[in-house]
Amino acid sequence: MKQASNKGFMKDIKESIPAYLLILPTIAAFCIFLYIPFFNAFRISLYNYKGYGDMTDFVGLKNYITVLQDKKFFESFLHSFALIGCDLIFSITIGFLLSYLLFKGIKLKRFFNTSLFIPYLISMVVVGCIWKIIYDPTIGPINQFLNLIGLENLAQPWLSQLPTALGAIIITWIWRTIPFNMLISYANIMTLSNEYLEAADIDGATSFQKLRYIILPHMIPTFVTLGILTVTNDLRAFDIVWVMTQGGPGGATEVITSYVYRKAFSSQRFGTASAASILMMAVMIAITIALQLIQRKGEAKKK
Amino acid sequence: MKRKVIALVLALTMGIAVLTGCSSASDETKSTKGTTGDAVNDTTGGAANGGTTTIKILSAMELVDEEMMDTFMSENPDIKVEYEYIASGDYSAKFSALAASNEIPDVFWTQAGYYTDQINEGLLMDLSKELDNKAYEGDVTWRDTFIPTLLENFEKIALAGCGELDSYDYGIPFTMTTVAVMYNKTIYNELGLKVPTTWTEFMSNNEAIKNAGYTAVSVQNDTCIDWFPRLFWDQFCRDEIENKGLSFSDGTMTFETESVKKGMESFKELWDKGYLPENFITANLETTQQMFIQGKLVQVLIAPDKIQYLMENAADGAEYATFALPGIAGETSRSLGGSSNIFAISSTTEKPEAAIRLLKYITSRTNFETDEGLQYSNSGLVGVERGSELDGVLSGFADAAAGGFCPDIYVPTTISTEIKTAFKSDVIPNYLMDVYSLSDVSAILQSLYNDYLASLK
Amino acid sequence: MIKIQKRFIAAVIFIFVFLYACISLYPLLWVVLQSFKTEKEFLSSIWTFPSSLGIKNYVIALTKGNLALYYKNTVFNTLATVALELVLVTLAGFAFSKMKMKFKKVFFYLILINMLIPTPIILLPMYLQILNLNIQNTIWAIIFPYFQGFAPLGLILIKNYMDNIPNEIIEAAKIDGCNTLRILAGIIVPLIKPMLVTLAILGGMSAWNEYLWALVSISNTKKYTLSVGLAVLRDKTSSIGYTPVFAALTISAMLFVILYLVAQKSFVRSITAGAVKG
Repeated sequence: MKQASNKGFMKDIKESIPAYLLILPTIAAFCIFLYIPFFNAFRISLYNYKGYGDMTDFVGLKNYITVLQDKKFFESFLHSFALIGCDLIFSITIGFLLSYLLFKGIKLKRFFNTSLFIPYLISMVVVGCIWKIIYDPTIGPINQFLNLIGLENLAQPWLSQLPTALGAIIITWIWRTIPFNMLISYANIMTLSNEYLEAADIDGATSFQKLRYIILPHMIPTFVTLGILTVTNDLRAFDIVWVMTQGGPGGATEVITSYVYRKAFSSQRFGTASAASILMMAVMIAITIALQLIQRKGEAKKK
Repeated sequence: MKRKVIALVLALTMGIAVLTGCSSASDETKSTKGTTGDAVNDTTGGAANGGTTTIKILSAMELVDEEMMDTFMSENPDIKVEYEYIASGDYSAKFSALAASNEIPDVFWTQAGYYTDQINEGLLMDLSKELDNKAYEGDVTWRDTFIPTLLENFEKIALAGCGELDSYDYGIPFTMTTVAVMYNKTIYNELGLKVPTTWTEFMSNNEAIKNAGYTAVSVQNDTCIDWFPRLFWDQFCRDEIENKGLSFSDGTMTFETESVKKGMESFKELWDKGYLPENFITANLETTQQMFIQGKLVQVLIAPDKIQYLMENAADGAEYATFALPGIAGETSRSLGGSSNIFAISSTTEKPEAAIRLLKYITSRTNFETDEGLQYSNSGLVGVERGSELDGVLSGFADAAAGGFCPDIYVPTTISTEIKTAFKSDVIPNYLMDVYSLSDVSAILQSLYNDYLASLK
Repeated sequence: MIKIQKRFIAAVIFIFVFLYACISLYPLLWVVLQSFKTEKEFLSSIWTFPSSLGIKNYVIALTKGNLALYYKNTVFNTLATVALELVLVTLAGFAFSKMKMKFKKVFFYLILINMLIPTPIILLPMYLQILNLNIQNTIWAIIFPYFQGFAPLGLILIKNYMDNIPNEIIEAAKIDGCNTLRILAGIIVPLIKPMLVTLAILGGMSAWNEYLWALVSISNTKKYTLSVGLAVLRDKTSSIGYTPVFAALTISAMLFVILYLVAQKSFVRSITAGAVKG
């Protein structure tokens, strides 16, 4: 019995060889440029290391304890999750709605098709610089506009105070990510076969019914993909935050990556920074596994 | 036509893709070697040409620019300088990478917080012998060309950050950095204000400016957010540190000490009274400059290397001038800065002579008299003055320098990059925004400082 | 009555989308506008129009900022990166989507795990790795790390896209005696063209704008990329001013705007064509 399964195993492996050959270059590149460096990052997390000089001061798990005792670490985690949450809800919804409108047909479609995608074509650094000026309390357009229409008391130092700083960053971030979600949604809406929609038209379905019963179900896999991409992309959000506030004021907009960057390159605590990254990864992997388990349970129940 | 272009672009991309793709896995290593070989040839080829020495310099100070290097090379044809500039905000990332790979450039910029770390790690060359040799020009030793206090500062910085050393000459000061208040004279006249000579006058000016609807005062950008408290400490703590001999390192002074707290409180007072701009915590250089030139901000605490831009782009009819910030406790007003732009030589350089010649050049009379970008800075050299036409505008900087300098490391928020970062990006903002109380501030800073002391042992 | 109502809704929707398009366009237009101003005009008010359309700032940006060279470098880096990304991702995507593979999930997650690593922390170890391999300042030190960063996104997108291709097509080709590579080149690639264009744009964009790695890893100023050159320029505003920086930003952003405009047409056409066929 055991032998048989062993044989089956060998046979499986043998049959997989062509596939392995195709992924070999990718995996090789990952080994050299990701796994080995990452292993070194893990090693650094066990040392007290400044970023240069000899790595001799082995401290064991002390860096991990330092991170876990740091209130700022948990705050930056929370901020990252706030960013992810808002992005998931607003960016994907708006991105889909825009792609739906383009799909349905709208006047000036060509113009919209291009202009709506523009934010994605500008680099993060530039986006950050521009929005920083937009939010500026004295010379920025938002406050100048509010003053103009007599709403002086609504004018705020958007990026320089606790209640609004994170929100302001999130809005900029969403503005920048919508085009991506729109593009991917649009590409996938387009793969929807026209026959279905034509058949629905003959049946006299309204636009809303078509949206609800044909398009949305067709789009669910896309939404799942976009959701995953959003979570992982937002976890690594850095440039915009760094350019606009450097995680300030006083850590109000600190996200996980800016926390790590500051620890590593401003405070020169590479060990602590590496430990923080690894803890973050551990949490994310745990969440992923939990989600998978829930999904599987859900599927099992359905059956 | 257009369609053809598209097709071409796509075909090209695909073509390259297919070509590289076919051989991607097996050729990786081969072609890698090929390119490295080229790189090696490049460097040796450069050195072989006419027996020139090639040295690398990494600058994070705008004033040391490519043009300066060009002039140097034309004066010293046997040396070729490879110049690299890095935004000062990226210095730490870049330097870490270079240091980790033992590729530190022959000559590089540094400043107090990094400087002591770099000495501790043995990355810097001891320049004491060289300083006693001849200067770039004239018949004087190099050491004597500097204004003495600038070199003495190095000793203080090193003592505070590294303890007792055999030599304190691990870097040279490039320019004497001073900090003074630049103000909008036009608005001053309009409001009938006078240049303040005491702290009380300064504060009453601020009140008048604020009431007239302007922003009273700011610092040049958010990385200088600690300037005010450091200036205040220089006043409040001077008696204890310099006359009574108290010190942080032996614990006779702590962040709980009354004078230290008073410095923070006075800073908070400026904020609470609404004299500082609303975006004070996050305003960068660009925003501050715009506010000043648009006449929305009346006074700005600024260093001379940022002056040129404001002067050249002054609004029509607006007149700017400078004054030294009056001392808050009535002590002689001293300026921040001094030797805050340091240039050093790597301890592992293979071309020490060329590197030293370059350092001597950038601190030479010739350089300060020929380089246009340096016209606003104070050379920090004995007997090298800037053109007198700028003296009127820049008199505030001269006054600020006349009072001397507060040591770079005083109340030790600048002693390590870690404390410096925490102070600027966490403690100050949260204290101003009422998240931290004064006792939180003292506790956080003291515990960071204790950690630092422990790490030295 | 219903017709009027419908038209009204359409008009409202149109206005909303139009406003949103304006918000999308505004920052880029703003940058372009500033790039034509004199320094004084820019400083006195950022909301006015430039008095003339001089190209002085562009000249300064190109000469003082050395941008022409950086542009060339960046184009080269980007093309090489995109080429590598498209090929490797297509190969791997096909294997993951259509081929029998033991431990498929394990390998897939091994690649996806990259998305959970914060970039800053891998910078220094990756740099040391580049030095170990002795490929510093070469194209390889750029394209492989960029590929590594882009691969998870690319792989997810292309795998999902390939999942939609009916297996029968491949089976039929197999029966005709085509080997895997033939199937890929002859059948799959034409079918996934729209996705390849999308990936080229996405991967190209990120390679074009990437900053941190380029900053840390490139130590030869002659090999600087645009993003690094821009950062240097931005830090030198005290001597050259801000408006040349805006000119430089415009130069940097325009290529992709134009490429997108060009690619979009063929992109949309091939999507629609694919949909009809499918």
